[in-house]
Amino acid sequence: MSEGAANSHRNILLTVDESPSSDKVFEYTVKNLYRQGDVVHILHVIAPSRRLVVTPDMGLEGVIEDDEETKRKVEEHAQEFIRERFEKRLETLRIPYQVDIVRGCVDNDSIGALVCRRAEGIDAVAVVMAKHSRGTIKEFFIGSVTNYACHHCKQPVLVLHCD
Amino acid sequence: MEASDRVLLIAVDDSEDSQKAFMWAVDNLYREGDQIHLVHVVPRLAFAAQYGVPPVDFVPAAENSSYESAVQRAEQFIIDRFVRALPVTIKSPVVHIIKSEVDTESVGHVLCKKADELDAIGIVMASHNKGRMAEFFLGSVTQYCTHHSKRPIIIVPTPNSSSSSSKGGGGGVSKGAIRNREQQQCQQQQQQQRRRRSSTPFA
Repeated sequence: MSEGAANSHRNILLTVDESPSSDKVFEYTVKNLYRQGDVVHILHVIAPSRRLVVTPDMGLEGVIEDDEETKRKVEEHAQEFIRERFEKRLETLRIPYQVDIVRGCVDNDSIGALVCRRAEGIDAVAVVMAKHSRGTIKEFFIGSVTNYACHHCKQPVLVLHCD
Repeated sequence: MEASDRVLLIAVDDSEDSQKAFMWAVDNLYREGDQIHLVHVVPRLAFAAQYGVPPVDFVPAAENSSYESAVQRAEQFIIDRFVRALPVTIKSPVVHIIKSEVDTESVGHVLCKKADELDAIGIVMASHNKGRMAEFFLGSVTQYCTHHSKRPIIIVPTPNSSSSSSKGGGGGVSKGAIRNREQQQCQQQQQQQRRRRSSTPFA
């Protein structure tokens, strides 16, 4: 179907966060989608800061920037949980992988656009994401990212439902 | 390798986009031993559209013949578009042609129910049914399933038709000039992105 698919491996893009749903995303990929030789790409977007300014209708108005120290800690924490929950499993299963941790922007849509661009950049065979039926502040970013990706991504999107 | 016993549910209609979704599933999701189920839902409004009558409630008796012909048409396109395109190594798919009592939205409901019934590992569908002109972001059936299904949904995007907007927001299967333009736009966006971001950009 796609040029060059015959000889090369496939790339699968997973979007993860700290919620348990990311484990489901991971397990489903490994169990149902993965084929020998595929490369798993883990994409994690860090919230731009820990303090967000929201409008009354829960739109994002702005961020109060964290200081450098906090930023570093947040990034280290992200690397840590990804290492614990995903990298170890990938290594055990001998699955080639790549991890990208990106600091998100204020605008939700551009995080979605980021995911879509990454998917296109690696020519992902699928983008695996979780959808929460109830958004919480913590999952504020990821929920609408899944929505955006479903609408705009040029690669197939696999949506898992996690509550 | 053990033969799998998974069920793959693929929602089909008489369109190239649906065929694309089907081929994606066969190429990328299928494993030896999987059972493919093709599900086509005939919404009641289809009768109205076909026969040029207003979509008001019909007397059930009058619908029988139009329903029968809708089913026959469905059988035909399923054979032409899907069953014939299947490699011989893959065992024949199970075909479900289901009549839905109401309008388009419950096509999604029927799909979700069928997936639960079959214990499918996921529902594969095209992003759009009626094309991007009619349904801009996401087709109504796909939208419904994405929100309501308990099982994984795999959305295979519909490439834009030739009437893509100037922003280039389209599904690039095209080569050459259009792809280059999109790449330039992507790069521009990426550059803007990098200026705002503090983490190391990926290559």
